[in-house]
Amino acid sequence: MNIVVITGADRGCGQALVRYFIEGGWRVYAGQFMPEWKELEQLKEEFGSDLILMPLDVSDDASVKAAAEFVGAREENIDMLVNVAGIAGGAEDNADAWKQVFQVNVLGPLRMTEAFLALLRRGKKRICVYSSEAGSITTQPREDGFVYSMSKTAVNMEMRLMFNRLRREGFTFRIYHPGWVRSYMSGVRSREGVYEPEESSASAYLQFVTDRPCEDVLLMMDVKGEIWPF
Amino acid sequence: MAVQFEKEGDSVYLLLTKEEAEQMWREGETGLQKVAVGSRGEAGSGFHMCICQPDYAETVRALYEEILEHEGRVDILVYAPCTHAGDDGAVGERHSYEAIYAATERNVMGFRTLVDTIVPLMSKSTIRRIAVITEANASIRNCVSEDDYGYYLSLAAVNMAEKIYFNRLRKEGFTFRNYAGSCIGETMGAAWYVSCDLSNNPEEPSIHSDENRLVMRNSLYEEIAW
Ligand SMILES: NC(=O)c1ccc[n+]([C@@H]2O[C@H](COP(=O)([O-])OP(=O)(O)OC[C@H]3O[C@@H](n4cnc5c(N)ncnc54)[C@H](OP(=O)(O)O)[C@@H]3O)[C@@H](O)[C@H]2O)c1
Repeated sequence: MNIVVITGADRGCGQALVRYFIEGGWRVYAGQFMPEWKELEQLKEEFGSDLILMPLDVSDDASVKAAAEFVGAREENIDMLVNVAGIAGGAEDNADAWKQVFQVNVLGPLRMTEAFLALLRRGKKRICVYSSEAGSITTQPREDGFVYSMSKTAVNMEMRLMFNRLRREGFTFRIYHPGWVRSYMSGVRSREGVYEPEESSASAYLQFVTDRPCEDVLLMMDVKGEIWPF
Repeated sequence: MAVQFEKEGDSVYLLLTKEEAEQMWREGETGLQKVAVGSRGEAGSGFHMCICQPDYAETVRALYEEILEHEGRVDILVYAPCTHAGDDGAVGERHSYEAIYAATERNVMGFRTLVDTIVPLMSKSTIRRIAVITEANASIRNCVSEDDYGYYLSLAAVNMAEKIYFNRLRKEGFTFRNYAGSCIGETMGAAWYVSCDLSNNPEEPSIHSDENRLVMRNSLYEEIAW
């Protein structure tokens, strides 16, 4: 059985992804950031031992380390790490917001990869991250909203640095732009957007589990399977 | 580090962090000579070295006041992010997340603070140019590095910030340069490129001007993918 670790799984894209992986025959370790949000526990009732919940705050070294120990105590390896957790930051576009957003959106995937690297090396070696069109310098149309955009550009660069080191060990990478999703990034379920989390995550799941004939190329692809320039 | 005066009477303000200034002090005359390479003017006339920590708003504000008093405007703002996170290895090797964050704070928020503070002085100029001096490894597409996360994440984020400023300020007549790399042989140095205009016919639809997009170029004038 393949094993995946998913961050930011309480709601939105991450939670929808949990369901696709389990239905696809994977065992899922789902990071729970919001214990007060009960939907993951309802999924647990539905899926039983195929879904294992664990507390996880990707901005916290100790929490990430504890999660890696939790999984390591139960599994020889994991096959895939999916970094979904992300925040938009508040209305402020200042140094405090940069610190908060950078900790989650950029250092989160690095912390996770490093904490789970030994387990990943013994598995199928795939690292996936939810980025955004907002991180594409080429296509960026905004005149403000620096912090979120810069964090997604930075996480794309982070994937490049990881790719440069790990590709030769057989690792493969997915950088995914989920489209404009009616999720909870503003704190409440958005009524605006183009995709339901379930629609976007259906595409993500297929892209994450399907091998490409061009794994030596680092690409950012969106929900429609279209390539975005960096 | 090179300072180039375009014309007699031009002023150059070289911003140094406290650490950089201390290092130059230790290096004595050689350090100063390094700074003045390419200068046609006498260091001390139109040439000013200032201690300025771009991520500290107070020091940038002090710079603003000084330039306002003595010059009244800024024509060109050149920014070169250069802080690394110390011993910052490849994935799975030693590095400190705190240090990575701190490097990005200085490089990225430093750029933001500097631009936000200095732009009002640039609005008084007819030139209004913002330039980022970077390196080819700032390209996510082409980067060959495996380590130095704090530095490379910063370079990518600064490029994104420059693009957002471009979107915001181009319509006010600002122009932008993004120059990657060293100047070896008789290639195009940063100072030369930054001071050159690009073809721009305001009568033509904006898409036909090279001033109306942000491009990273190296010293051979080659375009580098982001
Ligand atoms: N929605 C869009 O249109 C869109 C577009 C492009 C890219 N993305 C990216 O797609 C990813 C998924 O976003 P989404 O739309 O599904 O948003 P979402 O509904 O807010 O889901 C993200 C989840 O991550 C959690 N989280 C926040 N901080 C965390 C931390 N430190 N550790 C672990 N989990 C944390 C969130 O909790 P809280 O709710 O408490 O913050 C939330 O449960 C994000 O990386 C986002 O940047 C989204």
